Amino acid sequence: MRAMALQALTFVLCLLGVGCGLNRSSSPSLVSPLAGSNVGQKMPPFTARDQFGHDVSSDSLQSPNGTVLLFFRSADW
Amino acid sequence: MAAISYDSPAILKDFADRHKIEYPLLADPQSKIIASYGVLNPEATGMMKGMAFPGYYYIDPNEIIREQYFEAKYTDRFTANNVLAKLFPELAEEVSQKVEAPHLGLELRQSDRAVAPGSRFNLTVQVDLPQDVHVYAPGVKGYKPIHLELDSSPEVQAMPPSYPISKTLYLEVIKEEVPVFEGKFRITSEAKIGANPDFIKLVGLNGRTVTVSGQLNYQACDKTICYPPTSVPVNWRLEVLPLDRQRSPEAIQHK
Repeated sequence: MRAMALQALTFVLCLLGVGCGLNRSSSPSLVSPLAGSNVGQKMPPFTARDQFGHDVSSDSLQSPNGTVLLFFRSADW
Repeated sequence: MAAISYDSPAILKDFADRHKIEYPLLADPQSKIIASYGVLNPEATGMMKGMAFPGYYYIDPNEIIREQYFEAKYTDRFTANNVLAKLFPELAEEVSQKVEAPHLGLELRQSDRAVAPGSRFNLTVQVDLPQDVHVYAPGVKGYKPIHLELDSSPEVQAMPPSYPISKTLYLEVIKEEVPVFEGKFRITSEAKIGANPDFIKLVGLNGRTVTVSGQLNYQACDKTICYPPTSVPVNWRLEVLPLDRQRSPEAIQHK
């Protein structure tokens, strides 16, 4: 199940992937500033609305193996 | 598991409907979550203001952030299966193929069958040595160590392979200790699909097949004899999918 879900994530990354932003001269910063700043810290809790109109909390995303959060640029680019 | 962006729920619904995505795509239109995870792109302005740097966090069952996978360039992305390969290797091999090789069993695996321009994926060589047979590990002196050599091209850039920790074997005949691999072990490497405009043009609307080629060099020995050094060709095929350039309906687009 996890593998299937992540394969679905792969698919959406392929779609979101490099995105249409490639051809936009105004695309901001090519470089991510990340440098391990969050590793080892407790995850910031959140609640957000999903594509089905449901409010999803960070607690509800947890599983016995943990969870993966994907941050992506946009589904509109 | 969830994906988060600065898009509105309406944009995410439109995208999810088009691509039949059922896991949570979470709307963070004020970028509060994005900022709280430290991935807000401060240089994004105008309609891109609030956009996140793209990448993954792995959070353990105790809600501690354990891993992060972000590339230096936003055009380069770890595939989800590559992340899975790092976190849970036993779940990650989507494709495998057996290859004939002298003196050992050889299986080639890859994290992904289909990728996109800029994808960073995982390639694995699994070696299975018969009992009492060993190959020399990198760092050995005077012998030919096993070495995975991958070719780079404008379409695919291969990265240096990673080898497991070797064992030390004492060779009675020459009274030497040497680093070796025995039994079953894996050599892994990552590779990145090109993301430059020329390659994206080649991928076009129909996609493109690319091959990562190389060779596995090694010398196998048993208790009595060392066989001649050998080289086995290896290759992995992948489909590169075209990019989705469709925007949301105008009424709900970022403006």
